[in-house]
Amino acid sequence: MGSIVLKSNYLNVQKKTASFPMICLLVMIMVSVAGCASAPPLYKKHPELSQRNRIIKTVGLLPPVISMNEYQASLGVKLVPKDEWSPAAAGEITKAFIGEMAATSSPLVVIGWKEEQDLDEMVELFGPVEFCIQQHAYEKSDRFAPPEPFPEKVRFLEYSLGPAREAMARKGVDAVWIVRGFNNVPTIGAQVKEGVEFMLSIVAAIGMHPTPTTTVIRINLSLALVDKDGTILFYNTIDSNKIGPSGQEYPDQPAGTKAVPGPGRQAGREYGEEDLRNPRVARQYIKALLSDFRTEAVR
Amino acid sequence: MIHTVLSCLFVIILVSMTACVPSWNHTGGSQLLPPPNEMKAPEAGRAAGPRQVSFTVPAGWHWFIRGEDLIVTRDGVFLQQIFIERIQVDQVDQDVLGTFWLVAWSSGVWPTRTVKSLNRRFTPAMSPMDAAKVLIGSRENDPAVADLKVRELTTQTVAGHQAFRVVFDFRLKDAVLKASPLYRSIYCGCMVDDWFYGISYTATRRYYFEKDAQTFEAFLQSVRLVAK
Repeated sequence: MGSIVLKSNYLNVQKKTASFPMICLLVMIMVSVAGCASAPPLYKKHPELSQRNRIIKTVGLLPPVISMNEYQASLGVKLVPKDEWSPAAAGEITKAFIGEMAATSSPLVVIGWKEEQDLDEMVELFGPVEFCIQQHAYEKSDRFAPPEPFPEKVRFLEYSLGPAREAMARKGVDAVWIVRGFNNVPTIGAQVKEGVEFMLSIVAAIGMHPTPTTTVIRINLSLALVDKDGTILFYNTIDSNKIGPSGQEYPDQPAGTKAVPGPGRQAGREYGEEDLRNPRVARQYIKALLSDFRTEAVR
Repeated sequence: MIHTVLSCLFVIILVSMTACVPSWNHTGGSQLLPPPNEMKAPEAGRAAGPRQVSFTVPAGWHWFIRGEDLIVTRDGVFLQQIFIERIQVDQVDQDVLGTFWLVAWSSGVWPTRTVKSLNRRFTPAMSPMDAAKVLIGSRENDPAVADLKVRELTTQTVAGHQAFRVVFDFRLKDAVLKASPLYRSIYCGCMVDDWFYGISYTATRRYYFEKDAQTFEAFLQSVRLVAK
């Protein structure tokens, strides 16, 4: 009780000398808290998702498009394209998708390139469509590009990739999943560099000289469910800043089970944990992307 | 204390200024594109200055004055866009970003640049077909354009002036999209005094081009060049 009284007295003293800055601080904290509380979900759904999803019996998976880069240590950010890694990453994403869908009753048909021109064009068109969703369907963004919200796009997901009824009928599917993303795989040098920069920024902040540090997004994956009319029924996106370092949760282990840090880990990350060619990483991202769909599709 | 108050005041002013920064306009109906910057206006004694352009924004579309050009879209500039540009015969550059370059960011990211890629100049009283050759040359020369294929070249009347109408397909060589889909453009252009006026519609060949082609034709009919 005594300590409470002392605290109250202390606050009273402070109030006399620094009430205005305290109010400013309080307002800033309240605004930040409000921002956290109202953070909208990253996924977007078509208003008729649940109705249309009911008539979807069989779903196809189109070839994932994954841009691979090696993130190398340098003075700035150096990304070296590694196109030769892309097939392996796309392969692991496909396996992860098959693994995730095995638990559901609807079968998954894996569709390759050049099997149906219409479907290849859909994948191609998904690039600019996704760019426009990212720019116009969100009011806030933590990406480099500032958002440019279009009111009707923020309200509903209403983008199309053009109809592909015949192509989907020939493949025996009612809808297709499209997956697209990038992976900046850090070298050990890049990881060490980021770790050192982070430590230096903490030291600088303690010395009241905060310095900005850059963290390169390691993995970004997006997916869309598209029906025969080309309508995007569901869209979701996730990146390594939101999902955190991989390997923290194994898909084959019970949910919530954490990996035990082993030798070779640096700052909680192990080489290969930020690489979509690692089956465990691919599975973790696909699982996260699909979890919102599973919730929304049955509503 | 006074220092804190001034800091807070500064923040409030900054926030208020942000609210005044131009952005995408969502209101349709008749609008006016003001004449280009006087810096690029003809010298004294030369032909008449640039015209204002009046146009009708299709319902549900969004528009933005990018530098001195107009860009109109429904779903996003990388899916479909109507574009108006005005180029003076001596012009060597085109302001595509404006003062607030992060505003309507995607409109500046669209990579084709007519003036920057010109390998011949527009000249006063140039015939529509000659002006078309200059425009096509610019696209051929544009480092952001690949697989350019001209499909159709005709003439038509635009805003009361004899203009060319060229239809061409292309892909983008661009870091934003990585692999570009096929785009189709309808580009109508005419010379009026010292100025070239270009009005174009560009959309992905798949789905979006057909979807909004009629909207562009209605837009084209609404365009008027208005003397200052």
